[in-house]
Amino acid sequence: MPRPKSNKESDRLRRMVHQHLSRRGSLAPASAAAGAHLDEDALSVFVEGRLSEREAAPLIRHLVACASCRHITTQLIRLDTELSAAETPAPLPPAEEPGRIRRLLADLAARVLPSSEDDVVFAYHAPADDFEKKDEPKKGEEPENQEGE
Amino acid sequence: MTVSLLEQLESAIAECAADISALHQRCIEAAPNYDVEADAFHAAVRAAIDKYLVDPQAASAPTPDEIRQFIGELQITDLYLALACARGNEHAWWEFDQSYRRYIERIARHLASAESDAEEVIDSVYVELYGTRVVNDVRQSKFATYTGRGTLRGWLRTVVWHAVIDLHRARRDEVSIDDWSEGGGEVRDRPGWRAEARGGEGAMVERVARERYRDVTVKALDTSLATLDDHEKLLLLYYHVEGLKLREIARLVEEPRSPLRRWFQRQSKRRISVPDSRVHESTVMRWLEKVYGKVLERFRSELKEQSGLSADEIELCVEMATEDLAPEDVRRHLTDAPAER
Repeated sequence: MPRPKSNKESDRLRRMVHQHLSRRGSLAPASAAAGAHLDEDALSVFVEGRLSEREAAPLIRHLVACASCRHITTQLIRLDTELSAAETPAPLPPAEEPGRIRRLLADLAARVLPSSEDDVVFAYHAPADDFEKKDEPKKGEEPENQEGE
Repeated sequence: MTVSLLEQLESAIAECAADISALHQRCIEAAPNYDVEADAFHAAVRAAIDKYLVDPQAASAPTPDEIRQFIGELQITDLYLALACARGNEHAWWEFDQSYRRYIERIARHLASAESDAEEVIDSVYVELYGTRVVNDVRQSKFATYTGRGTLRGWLRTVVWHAVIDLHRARRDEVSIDDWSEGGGEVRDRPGWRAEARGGEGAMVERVARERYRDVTVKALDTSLATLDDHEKLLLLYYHVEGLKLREIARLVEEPRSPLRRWFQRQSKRRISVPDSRVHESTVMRWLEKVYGKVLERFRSELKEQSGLSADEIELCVEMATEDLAPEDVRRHLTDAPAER
């Protein structure tokens, strides 16, 4: 495959491709259907670079055809770069207030919209029974940290 | 997917059922109070397989080994947490809040223009994650859309970003049309026009000749770019259309397993002494230059073989391709158009 012989030629080629792409804005034929947009799960895993080549092939195909999804990945890449540049030490977890999570979940549950008048669903499940399992190790709960930072 | 491929897929997944159960058991041991049933866990892993491993356009179904490798790469701890949160499990929500609230706040404050906006975004993200819409007696938690293929952290970054965009869109809709227009909402990017050639017959002949070369140049460029591989196209689009900087593209391919990175590294004849090392901006530039070279080769070939141009004419087209190639009539139309619609 030929390589540019000099910086001048390299610049010329770059300009050539740039002018054309800037005008076109796309490399997909007008008739190409991009398919359904990528959801947050697919967008984030693509930006993280965790997909295998087999998994990535349809996503890359879609991103070539879909300016909207491609633009979102661009914004996410920029965000990731900015956040990394401003990397701070791992933040302390929020100060623990007794019952805070329960109040949060109760507040969220109060906003749940039932599907019909007769069909009120209490979406928040108060795991009263779960708290009786005090002798079992609980994920994430460290009593010595519960007094706050 | 054909019936036989579907059968192959079902058979391969059935072979891996014990592996999925073993993963579930590990999750239970690590978080015994999350109460995610085996069926729900299997269904979630199956959803991830269907979404990422099954390509309707592929000629074959994934093999059991490929499925095992795939589920081995899932962010299982994150997935289990998300499944429990989707069910409203308070222990899971406690863990989630402890682990991720600050991160969500950080992103929201980074993206939002005002503290009040950031607070609104954080609130809306939590509402969305919990799910306040009920369909067929099932609360629609956004956690249910997370598959565990990427990290929960990365997924949350995207969710928060979307929430900020939605907030801006809602605000923009509240702004009057006059204000939006005055703020430049209608300004279109206009390429840098060359001064239109004026003059007598000589100038007209030159214009006609340029028109002819312009048309074949554009067509040859279209063809040469169309023959590129999707990875190459995406690289060009990120750099030239989306305006990503080299260091940003390097960041995209930082992960050694990145499919884009692996593809370009395979194309490179250079011996890579440390394949898993960070990709430098100069490497990305080399990838771009390689693609440009490919485009130029095909471009020249198209002009020579399809349009029958001589070497000098081809060089003229190459020069033209580096300039503004907008058609003259389009330029005239836009020049005469009123400033605002």
